[in-house]
Amino acid sequence: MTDVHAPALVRVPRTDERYAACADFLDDEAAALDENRLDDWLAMLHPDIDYRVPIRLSRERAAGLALSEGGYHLFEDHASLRTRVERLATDYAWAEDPPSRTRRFVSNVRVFAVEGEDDLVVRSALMLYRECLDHSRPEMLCGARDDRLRPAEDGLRLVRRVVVLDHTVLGTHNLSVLL
Amino acid sequence: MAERATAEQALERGESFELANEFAAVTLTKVRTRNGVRLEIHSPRAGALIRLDPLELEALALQDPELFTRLVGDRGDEVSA
Amino acid sequence: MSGISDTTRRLVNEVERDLEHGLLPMRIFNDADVHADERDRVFTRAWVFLGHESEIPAHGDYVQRYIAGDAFILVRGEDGVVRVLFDSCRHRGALVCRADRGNASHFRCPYHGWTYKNTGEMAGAPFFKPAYGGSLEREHWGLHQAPRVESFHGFVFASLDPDAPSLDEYLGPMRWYLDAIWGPARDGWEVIGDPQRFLVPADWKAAADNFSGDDYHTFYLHRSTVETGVMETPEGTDPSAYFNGYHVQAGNGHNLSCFLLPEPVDGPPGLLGFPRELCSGGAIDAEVFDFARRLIGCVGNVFPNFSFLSFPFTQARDHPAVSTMTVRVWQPVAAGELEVWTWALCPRGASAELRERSYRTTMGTFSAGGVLEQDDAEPWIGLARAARSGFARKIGMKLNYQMGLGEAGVARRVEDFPGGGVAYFPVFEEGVHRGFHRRWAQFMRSDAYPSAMTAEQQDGRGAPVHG
Repeated sequence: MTDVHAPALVRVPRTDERYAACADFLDDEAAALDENRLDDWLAMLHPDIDYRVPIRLSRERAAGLALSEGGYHLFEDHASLRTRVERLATDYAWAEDPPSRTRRFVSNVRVFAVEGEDDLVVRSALMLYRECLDHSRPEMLCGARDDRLRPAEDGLRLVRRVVVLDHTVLGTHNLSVLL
Repeated sequence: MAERATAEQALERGESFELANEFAAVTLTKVRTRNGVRLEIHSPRAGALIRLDPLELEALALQDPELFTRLVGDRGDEVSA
Repeated sequence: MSGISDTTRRLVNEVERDLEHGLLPMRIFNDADVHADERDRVFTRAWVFLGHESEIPAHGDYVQRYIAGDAFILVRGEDGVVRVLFDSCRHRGALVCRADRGNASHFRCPYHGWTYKNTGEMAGAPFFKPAYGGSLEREHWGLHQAPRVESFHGFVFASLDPDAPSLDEYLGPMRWYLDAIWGPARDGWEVIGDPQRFLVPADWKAAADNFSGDDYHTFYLHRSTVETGVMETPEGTDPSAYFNGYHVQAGNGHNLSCFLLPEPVDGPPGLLGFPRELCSGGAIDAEVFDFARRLIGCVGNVFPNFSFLSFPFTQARDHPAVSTMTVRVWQPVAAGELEVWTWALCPRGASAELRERSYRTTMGTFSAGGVLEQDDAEPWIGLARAARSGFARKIGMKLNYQMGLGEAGVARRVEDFPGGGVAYFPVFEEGVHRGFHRRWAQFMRSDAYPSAMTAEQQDGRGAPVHG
């Protein structure tokens, strides 16, 4: 949904150092998550982070991108994300103990400057490949990320993320992994 | 008189909006033609375009919903309806 | 009425014999014959949940829902009546509605264009005169409908069997408890968003069994949520607090586990923690409302596969606990495979803040990403794997459902429990699970529509039933 009052987005070319900073951020973030360095990942989040994965619907073409009104698979803030990470560190997080083996592929990166602000909007494609226990059939989650990165003293911080999945029925037996 | 798909270009076209569901998508536009103001209803999927004047629209508004069930149900029989 | 396979029949007989001793043959949790027979014996006969009326508020609103793998259109017709239409064109069987949801005055099949009113009646077919002349009587060719559709508190149920009793009769005493849970909301309930759907390689019965009142596992499986402050207890982290609840077998295979205050409290933590101003004492029976005002949390299952859960949780230690309400359907997909449909609801009229916080916490605890539900799937998946094991088959492995049989543990029968049924306290007992499987066996065994099962018969423990 476009907000008529939203500031314009100006494409940042690949050759721009801001593009490189964003692309590096995404790669570093994927590595932190895939390597289970969740505290490192938490440190990449802005304290005001708004993190959502809306429920996607299959509707007629004319409806455009069909997302549930108010329905989310994940709807998190910093505190709830921190709690998820804390939980995984307990001895009782069975869904991730043994941990899933994941590989996040982040590509199709497009960076936009927000007119009049320092934030950068970063749109990318995510494929998360996952195997659990001794199952040899992988689970996969695919979607489009719409991120907002905010410059901080020592780098960028993720302040907003919306992941629109390509699934209406999740083929994963849980969503214990972060997108 | 209602005008059909081969109608000539309108003199003026207002803003269009779409009404769609799983089964149909139509674009509605207020147009000004040589014969006056009309509501243009265009369905690309059905390959149909019609322009209705206020009197014809009023006639639609007066109809029983059952008429529309007949019109919707009996596609292809339009000529002999 | 088709018969069931020999394998199924042997297993059902085994289940009925074994339950008397608190045992259950593990194989029922992953057997292809059982799955196929469940479709005919359970899912096309029992009352099953389709959706909530708040999901289809306007005339013409529809959602595509399933009864054991069969697509149905849950629609509010132009006449305002809610119907459950079989999503299969009468001409050549194609899916008529193919989207998850929408709004339409008529439905048109994409194959040949046969068209139906949103009440299910046939509207027509293209070129009707040249194609069919006068030989097709439209009145006989409307979309097939679930013969029985009823709702209460906005929850729409359907039965595909015209011989099914009314929904009220089918629920029996469970209706009283559901009235205590959903009745107090002054303006009813509303679903927020759309149901979440995800696939779990486990049997639907493992989930329905768990939600029938498995409190025993909360302390261990879900311990991470205690340590992170997601789940609190009134008495802090004293473990015994998890078990000071009541198990109720309400008859007809329905079960619940509930935690009560000693006396009614006119607001949180009673009324499941929802604000008093959203609840009305006037519209429901005084005894039911008293029970509701004692109710601080509950979980239960309406046979066969409709569960509900409401406990105060928090997404994070920093946030105060908030009331939650989830309902779910455990859809059988294949032997040892289920699809979870989960809904989050809130009382109508709740503030925007409560609505959002409750939704986020409900989904944050019980959903695919829910910090409690994530872990639930693990043992159910393990069970599905073991249940199809050749070794387990060879030795006829039985699972232990013996808690509460005899006088060994501390659970004791509670007489005159407010809503009726067979009640035990504390929850150190597994009668609720045995009762679920007992009703399952009855449905599987019965060639005719299964008769009502009293709470005593469901429990099977008490004084012998004469005659």
